[in-house]
Amino acid sequence: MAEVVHADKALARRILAGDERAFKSMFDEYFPRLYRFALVRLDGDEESAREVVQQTFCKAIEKLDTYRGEAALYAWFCRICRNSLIDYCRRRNQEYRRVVLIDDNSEVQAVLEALSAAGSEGPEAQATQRDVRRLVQSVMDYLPQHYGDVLEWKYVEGMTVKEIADRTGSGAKAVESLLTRARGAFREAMAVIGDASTPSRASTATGGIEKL
Amino acid sequence: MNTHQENQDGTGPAEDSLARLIRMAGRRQEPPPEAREQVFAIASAAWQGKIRRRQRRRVSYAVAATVALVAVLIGVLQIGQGRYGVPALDIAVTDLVAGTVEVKGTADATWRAIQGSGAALTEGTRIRTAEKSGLGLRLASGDSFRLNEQTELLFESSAQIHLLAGTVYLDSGSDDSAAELEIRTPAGRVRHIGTQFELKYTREALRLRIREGQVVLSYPVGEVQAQQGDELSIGRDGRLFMSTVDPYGSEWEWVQALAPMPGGDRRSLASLLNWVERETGREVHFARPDLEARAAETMLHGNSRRMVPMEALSVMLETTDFYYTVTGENEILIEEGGH
Repeated sequence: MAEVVHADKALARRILAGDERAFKSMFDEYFPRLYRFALVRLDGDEESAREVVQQTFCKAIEKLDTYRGEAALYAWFCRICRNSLIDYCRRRNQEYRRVVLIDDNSEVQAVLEALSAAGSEGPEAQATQRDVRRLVQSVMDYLPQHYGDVLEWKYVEGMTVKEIADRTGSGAKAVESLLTRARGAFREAMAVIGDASTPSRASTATGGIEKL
Repeated sequence: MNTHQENQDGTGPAEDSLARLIRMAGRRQEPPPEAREQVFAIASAAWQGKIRRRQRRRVSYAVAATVALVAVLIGVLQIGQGRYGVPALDIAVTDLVAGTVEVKGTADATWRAIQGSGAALTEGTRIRTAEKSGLGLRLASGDSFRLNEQTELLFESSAQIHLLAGTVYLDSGSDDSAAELEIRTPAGRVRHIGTQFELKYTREALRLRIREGQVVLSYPVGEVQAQQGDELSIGRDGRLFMSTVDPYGSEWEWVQALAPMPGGDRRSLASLLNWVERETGREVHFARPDLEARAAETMLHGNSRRMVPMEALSVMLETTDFYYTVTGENEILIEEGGH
């Protein structure tokens, strides 16, 4: 985490110094993730998501010299995005959908159980599975981009290690090591949710989910 | 492509459930390219504005430090203060607002309506016109820039406009000293070389019509220089089509409705005729050679009412010994007497 923050502080400094490549790489990395972050909280309204993300970038750029590296830069953008969402919904007299995707312990349990109910087609099962999808995708977006990408290539697209190595221009060993780290980070993030089923840790876990 | 095989290579049941979870979630949705393009344009403008302000502030601090040092050296205890802030650059001023037109600055949370002429627009401003609305602007370069109904754009800088949707028109004047301006759309970029042209962008296509002068259009697979009378279209598949367009006719009526009136209380009939010719695309001819010289000497007296070019011609000629007839499709014939 300290390494990420250190790199993020350097990235922010380069952006503020007028480095166009740094700005573009930050935008390309954060835009899709923030867009999905906003989209899921706006019930799939694409136009509103665009508007909110646009506002987020403008605000974040304006405040970028106040970024001190207390958190990862993407998490800092997410915080601004969340505030932009609240402002946006307030202006439109719309209720902000506080997206704690799974917001209490019994639901977490239900969701995990739903995973083993593959093939269920009832509306409730479908809704639960949709929530799981959103949650997993949010976790993937919250991970460093190359972690989310490599997990998606491996498990959604079904690419082999060699194919991923060819795609990224790195060696098989490096890809395996990246996959190991990505799986670890993913498990760690998901564990926060799993921990929510333990009552004594419920509040921490809910906070963790909200951060996602 | 065999995840099962790799799972057998020692990753175990924990790996299986993780794989199953991620697989079930499926691929994450990619944002629409138009949304990326629009947000990138606006974020870039915000970023560039931020960089410029920081640079100006740095220069201002340096200037302030130097001034302070000089003041100490020469023993002046009080010098001018408080002028270090540099305002954002105005890059356009409204000339005619028709219907509902809204603007949004980079720091604005909401759109606000603008009314009347004389409102200054700064870099990073977004503008949009509603249905049956339009906007005429005077750019800092002096060029006339007009937005048709249902148009949205971003002023990235005085040299760059990002057309997000709709139709715009640029008249950079008839001289060759046109300021550089580039209009960008996701489908292509247009650079003019002293001209009048219209650019329309929708999700389906980009259309460029050149009324006068030359324009360079850069698009994903190449670059083309187009001339007066050319109409270029690029469809969603990126293919370029060329046809022709007349500089006059009903297609240009929206442009005339937003035309800036020629300036000055006293102007010659000749200058009015030049303006009418330029705005309508029609050619002005004189019935006799001496009438042209007389038109240059005939002074018209101010009429501040905003009129479209042909209406202005009728009204202003009423005060002179001249009259006009539209002959053929595109000719205005000026004759003497007859009121």
